[in-house]
Amino acid sequence: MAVYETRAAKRYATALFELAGARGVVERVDEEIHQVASILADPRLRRFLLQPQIPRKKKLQLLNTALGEGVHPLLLSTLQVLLRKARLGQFAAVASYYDLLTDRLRGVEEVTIITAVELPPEDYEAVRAKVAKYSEYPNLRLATKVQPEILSGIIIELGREKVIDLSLRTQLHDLKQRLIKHRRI
Amino acid sequence: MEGVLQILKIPELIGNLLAFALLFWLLKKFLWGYILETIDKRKRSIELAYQEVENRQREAEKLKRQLEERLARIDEEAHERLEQAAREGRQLAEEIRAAAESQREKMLIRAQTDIAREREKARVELNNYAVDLAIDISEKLLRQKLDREEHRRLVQALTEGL
Repeated sequence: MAVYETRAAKRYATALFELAGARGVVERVDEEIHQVASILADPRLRRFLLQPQIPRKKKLQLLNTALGEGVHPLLLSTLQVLLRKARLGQFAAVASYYDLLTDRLRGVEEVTIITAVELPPEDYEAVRAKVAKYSEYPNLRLATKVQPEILSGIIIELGREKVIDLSLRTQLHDLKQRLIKHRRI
Repeated sequence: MEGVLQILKIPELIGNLLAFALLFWLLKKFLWGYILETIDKRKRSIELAYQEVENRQREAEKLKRQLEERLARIDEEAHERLEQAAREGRQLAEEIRAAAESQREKMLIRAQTDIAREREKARVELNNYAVDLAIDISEKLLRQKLDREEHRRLVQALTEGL
């Protein structure tokens, strides 16, 4: 997910994850947090909640009315705290990091394979099998993306921190830098 | 003889002589000293005047000599000053020439440095432009030439070493 996880978002997600873990509701919150994130992504709702001129009380009422019954109290409390701290705009990042923490709990890490054209499923599987040894987790969840701008080759994103960039775009860029540096032309 | 005596009128002559002698004696007695003293005074005065003239003349000559010496010295000093001015002028001209030469050298070096820098800059820009062009062409060629199967083979080749 292309969401920039700020340190604050990570702190909120970790707190929610630990509390959910203590109550044994990690999976339920994980499901609900994604639903809430997609609801809050609605532009009209987002505008309403982020509009500074609208009183916070009205926003809280809206959240309680719309989500109060449908989500776990822990998640609702997190939303209320984010609203009070004027950080509701970072909810998508909180959800993303919570997802990562849940994946780690399950022993799952996401591997994202980016190519210039779509490849047959067996090719993706072959790549997943090859990069499994670089992961600290036993299970890899595969995600694929097609980005023609990489020209050709492959970019493999393992979890949040590891990236193996074997794209032609990057190789051409490196070649360009070397040519400029050494003035070969 | 008698005629001569008659002509001479002896008694008158003797009287005249006596009168003359008396006059002579009176003059000698009362005026001679004064006359001599006056003459002597006049003589001394004239001598003093002469002496004064001589002194003045000597003094004038001395002054003239001093003046001539002074003029000679002035000439010498003027000559020396002219020489000094000429020397200073030559020195100044030399300094100006040296400064101009140094300035010219500096300008030359600066111009050479500027030219070298501009040349290097142009070379770098040209190189960068050529690199950009080569990379752009490579990208376009790759986009045109690579079909799905070649993409697939490339991915397989690239991931082989993983």
